[in-house]
Amino acid sequence: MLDVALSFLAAFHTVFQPVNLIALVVGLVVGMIVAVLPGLTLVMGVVLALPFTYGMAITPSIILLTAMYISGTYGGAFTAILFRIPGEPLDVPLLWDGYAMAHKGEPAKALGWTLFAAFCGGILSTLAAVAMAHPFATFALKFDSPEYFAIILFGLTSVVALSGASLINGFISLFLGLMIACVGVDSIYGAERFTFGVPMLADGIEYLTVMVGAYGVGEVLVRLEQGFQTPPVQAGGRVATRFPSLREAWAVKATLARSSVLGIILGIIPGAGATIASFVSYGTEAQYCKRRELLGTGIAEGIVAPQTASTATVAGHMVPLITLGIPGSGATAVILGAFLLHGVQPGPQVFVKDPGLVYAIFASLFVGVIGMCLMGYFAIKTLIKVLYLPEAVTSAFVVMFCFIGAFSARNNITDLWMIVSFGIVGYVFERFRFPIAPMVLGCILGTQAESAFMTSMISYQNDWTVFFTRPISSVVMVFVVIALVYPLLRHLRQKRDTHHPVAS
Amino acid sequence: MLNRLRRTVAYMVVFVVTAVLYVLANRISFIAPGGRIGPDVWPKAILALSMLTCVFQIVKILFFAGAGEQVPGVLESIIEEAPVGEIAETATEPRYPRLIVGGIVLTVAYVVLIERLGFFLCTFAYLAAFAWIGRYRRPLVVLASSLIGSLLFMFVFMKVVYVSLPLGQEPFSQVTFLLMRLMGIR
Repeated sequence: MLDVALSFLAAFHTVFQPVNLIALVVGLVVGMIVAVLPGLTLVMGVVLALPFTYGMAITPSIILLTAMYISGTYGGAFTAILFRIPGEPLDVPLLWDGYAMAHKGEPAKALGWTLFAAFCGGILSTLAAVAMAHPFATFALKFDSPEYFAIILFGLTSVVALSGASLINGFISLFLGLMIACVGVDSIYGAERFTFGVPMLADGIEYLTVMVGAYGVGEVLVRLEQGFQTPPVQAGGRVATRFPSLREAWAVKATLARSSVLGIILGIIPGAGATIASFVSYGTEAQYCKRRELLGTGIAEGIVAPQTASTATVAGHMVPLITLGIPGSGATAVILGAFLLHGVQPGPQVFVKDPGLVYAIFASLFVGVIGMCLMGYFAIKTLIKVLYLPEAVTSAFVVMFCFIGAFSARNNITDLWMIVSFGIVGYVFERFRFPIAPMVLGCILGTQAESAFMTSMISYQNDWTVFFTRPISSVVMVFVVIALVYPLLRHLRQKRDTHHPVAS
Repeated sequence: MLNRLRRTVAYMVVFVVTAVLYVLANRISFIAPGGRIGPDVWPKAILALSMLTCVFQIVKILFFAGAGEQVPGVLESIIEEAPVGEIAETATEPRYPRLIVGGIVLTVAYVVLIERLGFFLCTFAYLAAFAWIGRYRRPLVVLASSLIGSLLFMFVFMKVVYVSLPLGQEPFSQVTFLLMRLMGIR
């Protein structure tokens, strides 16, 4: 443990090197702007930033993207509290108490509680992630291909189970992503699959074009269909932040503890991102908070719970990403993409080969949380001015960033066609309520899943029961089954409660 | 029944596409040492699961009561159970089908024309037209933002980041060359 603490402390030296520090600050600012702008989502912002990291070294690249990610979980709180516009879905619970507190004439206090919650959630979760990552990685070193296959399968199924309006649609989306990953020359036999004689397809479909198309162009098209109807921003008065007193802060310690733990745990589970953490922690307060009957009227607990949990998920997400190479959300899928683009496969071996990089990422999260809060306190007035930008104009620029990102990668017009195609796929998915995240994750993890499956089959003479007979993989397979069954049980319980409200 | 059939269309389309791909997967040529599974097994397994999923959903919609009901992901059910139902207010968004058609046509046109017009002219036209299609009606702001934006993109990506953006064909390339000279791009 002392080794971990020393490595973590030493990593701050890396973070404070000029290039890394610039990447951190740029990431924080851009992440916050993206979160404030209603037309842009956090994942979309991280995707658009990815092409800019091609020419950078891996450390500043990952620092830039994680900084965007963490500040993105905080920036949207301003618009939710001040203007009743949730910048991200995860900010919706902040409308209930955050906006209510602002509406009662205490916007500065509401912003102060948000800042306090983001700071505590961010710092606590980063420390927890640092403590957990090394044991996780040491344990993961025991894994063989059946265990990896089981873990990837768990990651993919839990993403389907946790997100989306329909489990069936989630699976179709996942299968599409896995099929996209099959296109091209297979790595074991060198056989061409689904290339249709097109030479460019022999190299496979770049997951970058899938991500940029589906998340970038796709979301712009969805907003365009809605006529870019951002609610009008009322010219507000003075925007300021007032911190809670020590006594007030001490009074919400239980909420803070519950939400931090929830945020970290939900961050570690693939698929359960900041949005789920935000809603679940609010729901938990509705059950366990001392002043639960006042929730929704503008009390501190209703602000602290969702904000703490959503910020805490970021460090939680980094644990499976770095130690196992499993991204748990759209944003971490992009960060995994950045790792792979720089020739680094996250997993337990990273701790052996490049521990400096791992701890630099955690240290950057720590510094990022502090920087994000400073920025939130001092620069918020300037930042929220981006709300006045017309959405139609900013969306046109978003599409352009998507296209230039494609040019930066391979300088090929075919990639633009891919982006447009996946943009239309993304729009159709949104329109017919098919979740995009399973497709993107399937596309990224498909190659690894197939490789682990084929290696297992070759090593164990086509014995598929190997996934259920080895101790670790069998336990993970049980989690896969739970991930599949849980939404069904939850749905049945909800139906029963609706039909028999009195009994429930 | 017609309503139910309509709801199956998406799944039928996916089923047909995956069935075609399954047939194609049978034609993947490879030489596998005795007893080993080939590179066709993985895609075929995915396609088979995809087809099964579609069949399940189609049968459920067509033949069972409460067919429209979907088992939601956990997030969706958490939102449904949330203590305050604020989201319902924001859930119903108006739709403008003409805008989406215009946006897709414009975006496809951009990809078709970029090598002919060159990056600057094509981007300028795209930015202006997209903002206009997106119902932003302040011509001066649209023109100014499009002009400044496309010049900035060109300067940053060609001069600073060294991305090779399309120059265009004659006579449009003359505009690109002129701007490159003015910006000091070689």
